[in-house]
Amino acid sequence: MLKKRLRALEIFESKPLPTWGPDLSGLNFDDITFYIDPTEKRFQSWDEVPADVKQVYERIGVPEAERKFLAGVVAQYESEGLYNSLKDKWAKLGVIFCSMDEAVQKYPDMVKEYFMTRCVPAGDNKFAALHGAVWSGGAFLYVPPSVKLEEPVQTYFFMNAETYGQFEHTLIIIDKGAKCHYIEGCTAPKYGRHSLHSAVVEVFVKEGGQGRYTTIQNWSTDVYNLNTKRALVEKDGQMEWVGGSLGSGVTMLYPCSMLIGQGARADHLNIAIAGPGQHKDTGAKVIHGAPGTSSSIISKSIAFGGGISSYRGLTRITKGAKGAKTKTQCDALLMDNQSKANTWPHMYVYEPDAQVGHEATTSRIEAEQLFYLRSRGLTEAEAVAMIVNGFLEPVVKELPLEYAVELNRLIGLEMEGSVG
Amino acid sequence: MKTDIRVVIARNDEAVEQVFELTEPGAELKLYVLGRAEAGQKLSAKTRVIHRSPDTKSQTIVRGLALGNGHLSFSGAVELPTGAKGADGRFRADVLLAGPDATAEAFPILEVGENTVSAAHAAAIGRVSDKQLFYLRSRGLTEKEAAELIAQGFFQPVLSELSEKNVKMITKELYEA
Repeated sequence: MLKKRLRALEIFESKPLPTWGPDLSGLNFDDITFYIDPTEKRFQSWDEVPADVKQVYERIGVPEAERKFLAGVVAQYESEGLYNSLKDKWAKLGVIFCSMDEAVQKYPDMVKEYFMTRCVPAGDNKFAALHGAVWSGGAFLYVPPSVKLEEPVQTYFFMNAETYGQFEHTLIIIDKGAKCHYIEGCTAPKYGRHSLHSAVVEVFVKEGGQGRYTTIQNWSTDVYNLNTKRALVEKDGQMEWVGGSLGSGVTMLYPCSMLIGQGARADHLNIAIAGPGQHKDTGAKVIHGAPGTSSSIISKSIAFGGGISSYRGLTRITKGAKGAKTKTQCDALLMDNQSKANTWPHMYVYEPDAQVGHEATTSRIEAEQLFYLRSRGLTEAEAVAMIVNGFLEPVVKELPLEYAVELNRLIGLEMEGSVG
Repeated sequence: MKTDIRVVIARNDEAVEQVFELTEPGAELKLYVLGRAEAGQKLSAKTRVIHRSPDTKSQTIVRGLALGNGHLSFSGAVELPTGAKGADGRFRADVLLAGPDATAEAFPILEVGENTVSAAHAAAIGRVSDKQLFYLRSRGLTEKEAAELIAQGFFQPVLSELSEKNVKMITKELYEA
């Protein structure tokens, strides 16, 4: 692992900062502490937590105990009871779920085979290289063949600062015919100490396997969120990426599905919200590298208060991927004149026996829609929130219920005062 | 206001960006971008439509046909920056890969900074859609006949909207690019 880190550091130092996306010139690598003791707290007590932070938790309905963790008052929160009983059940099935640090010690062979090798190699991009050098924390999940986990696996279960580290690495291996839904993150704002977040998520879906990775990110707006998430999907495998990017100042995130086996399938559902001072550059990448593969991308973004929201996507059909089909739908809701919405899809079709479709719209909340809802007794803020939630519905309906509820409330909060 | 109609034909050389700016309030533009790549050809077209005034309207219609191992590359941007109040910008690209080794790339771009607009784009690349094939086959054609018929008539929807004089000129350029 040390050798891997040193090699990654070399790569990091040799690559320039990407300039094709949002402005990253504010990043000062010398200022960043690359390893912070996870038990170090941001606020020394609940009293120190700012009133507006407390208000958000109140409005979203975050349980009392979680609030302290999210505000950085305590370093750990484990939903002990629930977690332990599931842990036992899974252990009996042969499922391995532990922290990434632990996995390096306990399962070195698997780590050697899968960790930043075929999926996200260190040379992939500058931030993957940085991650490769300084990563710590994260989770390791292995699901044995034919094991279908009905309950989602949530990092919520050991919600401690380690798993939410700035350079966390998540490695998920879903063996043949297995099924698993992994949930990471939380809707409520998370106040970190770190200004740069470069996580890497690698998912291996083997033949016939089904994987779903749900993530909601709501970092405080002083954070640069530059992640690399990728899945390798083998024959007849299915991968679903469901994500919401709510917080952070600058986010660059393009979950990628590499469909390398015949009949493999990927579905990407994404929400990006860019409010004042936020720049979201998100999208999806799908590479069809085998025949009979199919994919669908739905991206919903909202820009308000001067925020910038961009969809940047890549769909590639390689030669020989006969019968490949892909469809992308990206919609942007622009709330005012100060904000911007961009759509930059890239379609490369190198196999004529394929069908590639793409549609995008950029719109606003129509005055007639607002008028109608207000005539039914809703306040303007309530009407806006309702319309926005309806706009996001295709993605939100795929989120676990508690996230959906929290997300709806959060949006209600954000949209208050955004109409103008 | 009279709609300004322009036609851009995909060429062999390095794609020079053709920029169309709508500077008069209420101006309307209909831009056709056509490309027909035969075996051995690599053609490209790059366009940019910028709405610099309120109430402007644009439609970019791209139709590309690649035969044999021909290659087409289309980049088309529609920009509605702040100030383009009430503007309407649309883009639609249909690229048919009719040859056994035909390939294409498409980059439809939408950049919006003004929220009181209507902006949309759509692109479809690949072989003849299943729906179209089904329809023609239900009328008695074989799959091969259906595909050939569609390729032959591919530019018809666009050409039928232009004047005869222009059609002759455009067809000539299209087939000789």
